[in-house]
Amino acid sequence: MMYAILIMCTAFFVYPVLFVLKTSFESQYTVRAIPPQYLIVPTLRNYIRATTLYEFQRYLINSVVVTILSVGLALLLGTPCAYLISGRWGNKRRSSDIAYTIFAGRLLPPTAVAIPFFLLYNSVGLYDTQIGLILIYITLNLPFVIWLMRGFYMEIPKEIEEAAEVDGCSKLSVFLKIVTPVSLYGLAATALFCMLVTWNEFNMALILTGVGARTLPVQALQFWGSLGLDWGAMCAAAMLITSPVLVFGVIVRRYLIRGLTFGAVKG
Amino acid sequence: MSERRRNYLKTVGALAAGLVVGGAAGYLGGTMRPPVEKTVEKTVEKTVEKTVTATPAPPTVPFPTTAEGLDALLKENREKLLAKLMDAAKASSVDWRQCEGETLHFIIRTATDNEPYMKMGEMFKELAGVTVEMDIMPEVPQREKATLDILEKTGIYELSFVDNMHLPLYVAAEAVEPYEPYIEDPKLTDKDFFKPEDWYEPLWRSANAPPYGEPGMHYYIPNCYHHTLLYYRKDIFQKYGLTTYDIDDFEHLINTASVLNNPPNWYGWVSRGMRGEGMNIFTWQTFLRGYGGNWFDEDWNVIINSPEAVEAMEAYVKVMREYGPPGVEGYDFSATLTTGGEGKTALGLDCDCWSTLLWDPRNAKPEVLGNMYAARVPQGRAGRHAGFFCWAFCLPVGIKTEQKKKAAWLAAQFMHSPLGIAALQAMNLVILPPRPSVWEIPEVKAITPPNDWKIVKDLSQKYDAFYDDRPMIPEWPEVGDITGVALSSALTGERTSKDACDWAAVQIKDVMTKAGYYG
Amino acid sequence: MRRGDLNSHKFFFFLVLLAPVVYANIVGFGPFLWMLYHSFFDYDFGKVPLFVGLRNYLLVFTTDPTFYKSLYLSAVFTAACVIVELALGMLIGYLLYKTRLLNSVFTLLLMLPMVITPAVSGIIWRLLFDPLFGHVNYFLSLVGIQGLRWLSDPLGALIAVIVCDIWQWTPFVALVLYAGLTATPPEPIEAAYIDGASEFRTFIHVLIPYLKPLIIICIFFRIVDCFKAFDFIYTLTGGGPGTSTSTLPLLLYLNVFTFYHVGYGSAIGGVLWILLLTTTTLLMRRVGSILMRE
Repeated sequence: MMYAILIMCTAFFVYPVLFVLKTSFESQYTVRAIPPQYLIVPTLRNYIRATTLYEFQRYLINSVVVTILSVGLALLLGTPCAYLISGRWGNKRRSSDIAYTIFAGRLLPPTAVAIPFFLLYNSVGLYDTQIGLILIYITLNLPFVIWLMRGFYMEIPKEIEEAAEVDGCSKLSVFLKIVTPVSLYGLAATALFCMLVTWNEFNMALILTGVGARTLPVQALQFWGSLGLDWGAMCAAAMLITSPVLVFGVIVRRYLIRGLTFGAVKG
Repeated sequence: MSERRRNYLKTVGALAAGLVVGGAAGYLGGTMRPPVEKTVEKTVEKTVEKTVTATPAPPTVPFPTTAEGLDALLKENREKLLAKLMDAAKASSVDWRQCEGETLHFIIRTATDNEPYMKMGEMFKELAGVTVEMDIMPEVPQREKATLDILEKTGIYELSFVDNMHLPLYVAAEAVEPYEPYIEDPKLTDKDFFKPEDWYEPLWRSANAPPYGEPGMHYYIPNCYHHTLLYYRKDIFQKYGLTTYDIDDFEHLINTASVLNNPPNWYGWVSRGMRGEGMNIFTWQTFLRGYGGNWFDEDWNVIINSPEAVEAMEAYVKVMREYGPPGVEGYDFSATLTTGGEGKTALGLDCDCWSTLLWDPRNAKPEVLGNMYAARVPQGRAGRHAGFFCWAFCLPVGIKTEQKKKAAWLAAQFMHSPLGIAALQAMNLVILPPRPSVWEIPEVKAITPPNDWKIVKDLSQKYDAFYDDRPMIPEWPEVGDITGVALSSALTGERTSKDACDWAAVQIKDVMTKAGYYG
Repeated sequence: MRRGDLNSHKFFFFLVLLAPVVYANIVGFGPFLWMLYHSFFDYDFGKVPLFVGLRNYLLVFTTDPTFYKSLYLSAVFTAACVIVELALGMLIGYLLYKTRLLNSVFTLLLMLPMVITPAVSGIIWRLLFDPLFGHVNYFLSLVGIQGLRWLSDPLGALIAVIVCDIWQWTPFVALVLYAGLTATPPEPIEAAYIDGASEFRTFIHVLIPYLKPLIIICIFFRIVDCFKAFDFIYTLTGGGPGTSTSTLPLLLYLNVFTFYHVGYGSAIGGVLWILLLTTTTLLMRRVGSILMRE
């Protein structure tokens, strides 16, 4: 009985993805058939179009580089900060206030700040560069990193650190050798979440890139043409964008789930 | 009261006081924009000549009905055209190499002509030593980016695609350059190659963006020419014993749609319903202007809620709701095209690229293939009005160097010369040349499907159809969108037509007041 | 405590602390401040900005025809999404917790909607909601409901948008709650079982209190994201037939990028930001005690 409900719910969530998968292999002639034709003759035409019409490799490389670098740098910048405001030192209220201020930066839709970013980047020469995108994505990811990692650090009992310090470790080595290994789950979860968000980020990439530094999600939208919608190519592009993230997520999903809860509990 | 709460109240009180003071200061001190000096000439009405009907000539060579055949035909002609273009360019008197070494960035919207543009970009590099980077984006983001770039004069793109209805915005802000200095310069232009007078008259007239443009100056170079036409399924019409020559007015149109309506096999009508100044307004204006309505009168008073306009809205809403397919209230161009292609409609009013796109077996089911013909838009008591629209290249003022500007002009000349335009048409059957002479090129003749739409188009051009229908003002995006929302709400039944028009009138008046039209 | 240590490392401390804050301020807040600054100007694209103080804000609250509707839509959309996502997420999380078999398969499948780019998911649902060729109407016709107009009907479009958001983010809630459930200690549950409590009562009185922090976090994230949601609504309905799915971010987009009223649009942005700030602050204050267990 419970399984039945579970299966039904999962079916709802999975069906559109299967629809995209099926359409991406389908020819234009059967794409709009009603009742839907599930047994189709697969064709690679859509994938060929999606990868060859515009410079797919360049976009893929851009996406990979930008995501890895921005998430990595955000982690680097954010974790020490999170550690320091995790309530170990000073006023607890001030720590949480600082955390909260950083989080407040996340509260605006990107369209609001698109124009000033565009102008700023133009005057500084960062338009259509990978570095420009990376800088923005670091800003996007920092609040997440600090928020989540702060939660993880608050979980770690002080006794371990105190013991290490009594043994003569400096603050820095306490951080590196004791705290970090314990919070690995949390780091992995945070990294995963940030990668997911950055990889799929669309608004900023659209405004701030030309042909040079464009990322994959923007490319999927390029099939949304004004003279008819090429369902097949669109779905193929969507599958191509999601597959890397999906594969990655499958491999490390255990970390994601465990990590999300541990960090979230302490806010 | 506790210390903390007192502090809290203090901050809140200070904030509130600051707000009140700031608000008052801003309101009193901040003035409205000074009134804009506007002298607008009334557009000259065409004299209506007697309409003439004609029968189409039968096709000499059978048009391909398979995708492979079509592709082969297009490819063959495209290559011939590109080769011709290259030869003509080399033979022209222009020194193409004068801006060698520059790199240009173009931004164009995704469409079927992207591949020819990219091909021409490569050819141009070979010809002139100038690298062209094409940035291709969907229509809406492309328009945003191009506008941002042009108006902020950041000079990222040397040539941007613009929508002709947005041109007044740019010209009024003095953000685009006129083309005349380049066209008249013998070192930069070969008039035989470029043929600057060879444009359809409405296009070239609106390129001047009257009254904002300097007289005699043109601010864009078109690449296509869309206008609305009526489409009908010849086989269904024959089954019912109808001809489109009988559709003389809107009542007749609605009657025809009701007769043809045969759900769920096919519906009697389809047109655009989605809100937007380029969407439902594009097709609705035929009704609006045909009934005698308009957005503004000569003194810029808002007359969108005049009885004629309300009548026009009611007629459109009626034919869409009663004889259109379900969901037509939200149809954009691709949805109407899909409906036509899947054979779900017998009659439709939409952009003229339907006529060619539906001869492509990839877009049209077998029963539709070869059966979709075109006719002139229906006329009302104020004549036939077909909206027109084009995409065009414009030259932003913000381009960084003179050399780049010259190079951009050379590229525009190359790509939008008659042969260049012809090459753009030879892709996926979207044949909408903005230049009359392109039709005469033999390769273009070979790829034109044998329906009678070219004849219809010519008739429309020469006789009784008006093509200057949407107000060319910088505030048009907002005015148009407001009307689009009003029409959309009338279509979904949220408001009655009268209420929708009144609502739109109030909004538009507000916009025009803020923009300074009423002194 | 360790005051002595703190003083000697004070410089390093502040450097490490401030670096990301300063960075976020320059890159992140800079443009945000630009937007705020320009909200006090009458600034249309291509025209010279004129200072008008709080006039734009006044106009937003008094003469904008769609502002209150957008506000209402944002609220309705957020409320509907959060409530359904929580309810459904709890149900699925609990089911996952109870059914140990094939759990990894289910969690994997449930992850799928989360990884799709939101803009793309908007397009996918647009295809699915097509009245003639979409699968939603096809499946409904199998149970006898014919030809619903989704995207061209004001209410239908709103439902479509809510369904899209639910589809994309319920798995997030479900997986978080499921993980939370697996982390609960078994003793209270056993105690309740021994006391003879039914399954339902166990769930309500024993498990939910344990999950409270997680639930709060989920609500928090979802409220912020739903208020900010833009790309999938835009690709799915473009603002809806008329203005029936124009939430606040879409209103912002319309004003800035379609009408080119940058100053006025920035004022809307300012309003949205203050709204979100107040909502989250209130939420934090009310449940702060639960979160700050330290």
